[in-house]
Formats: sequence, structure tokens, C-alpha cells
Amino acid sequence: MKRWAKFLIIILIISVYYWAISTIDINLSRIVEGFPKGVIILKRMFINSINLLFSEFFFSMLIEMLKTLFIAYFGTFIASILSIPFGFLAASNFSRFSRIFKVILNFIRTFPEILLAIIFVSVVGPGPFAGALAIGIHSIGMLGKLYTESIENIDKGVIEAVDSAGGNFWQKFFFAIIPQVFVYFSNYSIYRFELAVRSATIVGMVGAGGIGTQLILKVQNRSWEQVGIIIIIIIITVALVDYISHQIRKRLV
Amino acid sequence: MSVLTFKTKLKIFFISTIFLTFLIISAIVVEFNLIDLIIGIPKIFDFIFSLLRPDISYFPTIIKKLLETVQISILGTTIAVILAFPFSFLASYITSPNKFTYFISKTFMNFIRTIPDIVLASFFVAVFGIGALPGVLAISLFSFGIITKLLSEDIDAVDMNQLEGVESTGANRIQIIYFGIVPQILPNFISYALYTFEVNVRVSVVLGLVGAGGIGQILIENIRLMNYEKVSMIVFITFLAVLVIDYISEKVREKLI
Repeated sequence: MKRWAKFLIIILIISVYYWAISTIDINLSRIVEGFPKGVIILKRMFINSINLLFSEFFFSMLIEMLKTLFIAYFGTFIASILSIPFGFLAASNFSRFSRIFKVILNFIRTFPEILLAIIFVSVVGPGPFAGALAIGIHSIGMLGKLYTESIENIDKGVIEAVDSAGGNFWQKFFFAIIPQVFVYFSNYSIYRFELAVRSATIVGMVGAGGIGTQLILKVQNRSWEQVGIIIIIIIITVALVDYISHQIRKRLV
Repeated sequence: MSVLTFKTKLKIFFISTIFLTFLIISAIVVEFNLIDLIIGIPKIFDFIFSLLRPDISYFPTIIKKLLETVQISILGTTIAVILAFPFSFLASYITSPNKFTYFISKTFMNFIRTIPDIVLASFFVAVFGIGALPGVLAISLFSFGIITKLLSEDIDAVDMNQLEGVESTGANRIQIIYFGIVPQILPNFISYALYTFEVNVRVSVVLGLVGAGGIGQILIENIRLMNYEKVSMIVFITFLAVLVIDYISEKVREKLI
């Protein structure tokens, strides 16, 4: 019986691969022809582009990158605020509907960000606002889940203490709950900001502003020198943001 | 509020000032406009309602392109998995032959991970032309970075007692890796492969936007032509597909671990 199961799985895997390979237009001659082209493009991107370094174009792209950072910042801010009610509603120790809200959070997380961006571009028009909204809503999926987990680990004793001192709902909220979760919440939000910087560049490509919009324009024009400059700016910025956020989070915890 | 020392107060004031300044600047930069949002919200319902009168004739095209997206993800993930497995051993300080190979492979891996996937795709589209091939290559390279990172960190954290056990029987380097390390990391490795596949289905939607094949290609075409009914149909079906694939992959991963 077990042998049969193994055999079936192998047959299944082979047929999946047969299906995947047979219908896709991969041929060797295209790969071989592509190589010299690739070398030329790489040369244009990373060697010829040196002339553009510190040019007017370079600085205008730096500003676009800064814009993208602020789109990510605003998006993360929206998500951090909205994730608080979601976090409490999905926490099994605070909400009766925790299961439903966990499923909702799962749904949000699975919805591809780029599709959200497309929807928001059609809602508020193309521009950075659409990008920030897309990042904000998408990030709730992950932030809400992380918030929920830290809320579920809350020490109930502290709440009871404030309760027995005669504290009302808001006093319990601000003096017993928030102090316990605040560090975790900020830690997760900062981490999410790192990811948001990456998505902000991608979201920009469907018209949501920032450096992504510039990148896709230059790619379409095949201006590889300018593409190279933009890529270098993105890579350095992402590495820098990761480093700084890492340092902040290390001090926080 | 005398519980807080002057220094902590100053710190809190300083941090919240920075936080708020950034917030105000970002609100200006993103052209935050609540009125636009409120006016726009009915359009979301337009988006949903256009699903109620679907264009059936377009359905086969969507399914065909969606399947292409899945194919691209399968092939891309597989190439990545095959390449990442041996490479992870170079990028772990336990199994790397010497410090130099360790440093080089680690740096290479980190470098690949910082390049946005869409950039990789645009590059391959320029080199090999529009189609599924650049998509497969971009996904392989991108996933290679992820899997190598996860796996090499697992190798770093391997249980050394088992290694010593194998070593004491007089095994050579390859035998130590094969009998001492591989059994320890194999379940995680398969789980990473499936996880990367999940991610890749979503990534290949994005890659299609720059001409790397799959569902993204018809998505961007219809956006440009402002066929919003077709766009909402594609968005909806893609979401369903992603949901189903995530669910299956998650179930398989649960069984593995």
C-alpha cells in the first residue's frame, strides 16, 4: 500500500513537470543568443552609468526614493493604527469572534499587494496616495496577526489589578494593556516598515508614484544607464533602512 | 507623572517629535486627502459589482494565463531549489571549505536578495524577450536568495553531537554532510521550497507586468486599455487561485513537519 502511494506521488510529480515544461516556450537558442545582449545591458547599467553619478538625474532620483520612503512610512502608519482594533478582535482572550477575524486577517494577507494597488489607483486616482493606501491595507494582514499574538500573551493579572483599583475600561486599556504590548507593537511596525520600503517600489510600478514609477518608465524606454542608477539607489537605500531599523529594534527589546 | 525622570521625559519628547514630523511630511508627500478617499469608496463597489456581470468569453484566456503563472512558479522554484541546496553548504560557516568561500557566497546571497524581483524580471525581459522564460529566470534567481539564506542558517544551527557521531566512525567530509547534516535539514528544506512556491505565485503576477509572462501580462494590458470590468475579473480569479494554492501548500507543509 505504501509503495503504491509513493509510486502515485512520483507519477504525479513527473506529470506536473511534464505539463509545466511542455507548454512553456523555453528554448536553448534563445538563451544562447541572449547572453551577449545581457553582457551589454549589464555593462550599460553598471559601468557606463558612472557618468550619471551625481548628475541632475541622480539627485532627482534620490528625491523620488525619498518619496517612496515616505509612502512606505505613511502606509505603515495606517496599518499600525488599523491593526490595533484588528489585533484585539482577533485575540482569543479578548474577543468572542477571534476565529472569524483571524480568517479575515488571513484573507488580507493573501491578497496580492499589487492587485490592491491597482484597485486603489482606480479609487483615488494614480499617485502616491494610492500606493500608501495599498501598503497600509495589505500590511494589516501581517501586522494584525503579529499584534494578535502579543495580545494573546498579555498578563491578565495586571488588568485585574487595575480593575480592583476601580479603573474603568479606558483606564484598564491605557494602564494595563498598552504598556504590556507597546514595545512589541512598535517592534513589529518598524519591521513591517522594512518590508514596506520594498513593496513601495513595486507598487509604484502600477502608477502609485515614487521611484517605482520612474523605474518602469526607464525600463520601457530601455535607458539602461538610468535603470542602473535607480537600481543602485534602491539597493543602497534598502540595505540602509534594514540596518537602521535593525539597530532601533535591538535597542527596543 | 513624577515617576518619570527628566531624562526619560526628554527622550519620549524627542522620539515623538521625530515620529510626528515624519508623519506630517509623509502625509504631505503622499498627498493625503480624505475627501478623495471618501468620494472614491463607491468605486470599490463598482469594482465588485462589475463581477456580477462577468464576460464569460474572456474566462478561458484568464485561466490559460493563470496556469502559465503557475507553470512559471513551478519551474522557477525548482531551478532555485536545485541550485540553492549545494550553495547553502558554501554559505554556512560550519560546512564551507574555508573563510574565503564562506564570505564570498554569503555576500553574493545577500546581494541577490536586495535586488527587487521586478528589476530582475525587467533585465531578463530585455535580454531574452517577452515571454515566460524571463519570468522563470527571474523567479529562480530571486528564490535562490531566499532559500539559500534560510537553509544556510539552518545548517549553522545544526546539532553538532550528531556530526561528531558520524565523524567518529571515520567518515569523510561528504559522508559527514550526507549522514550528519542532510537528515537534520531535509524537512525544513522541503517546507522552504513549498513556501517559496507560494510566494512565487504572487511574485509572478507582478513579474507579468513587465512582460515576463503569466497573468500579470493581461492584467497590465487591460489596465492600459482601461477595461476595468476585465481587470476586476482578473483580480478576483487571481485572488481565488492564490488562496487555493496557499491552502494546499500550507496543508502539505503541516504534514511534513
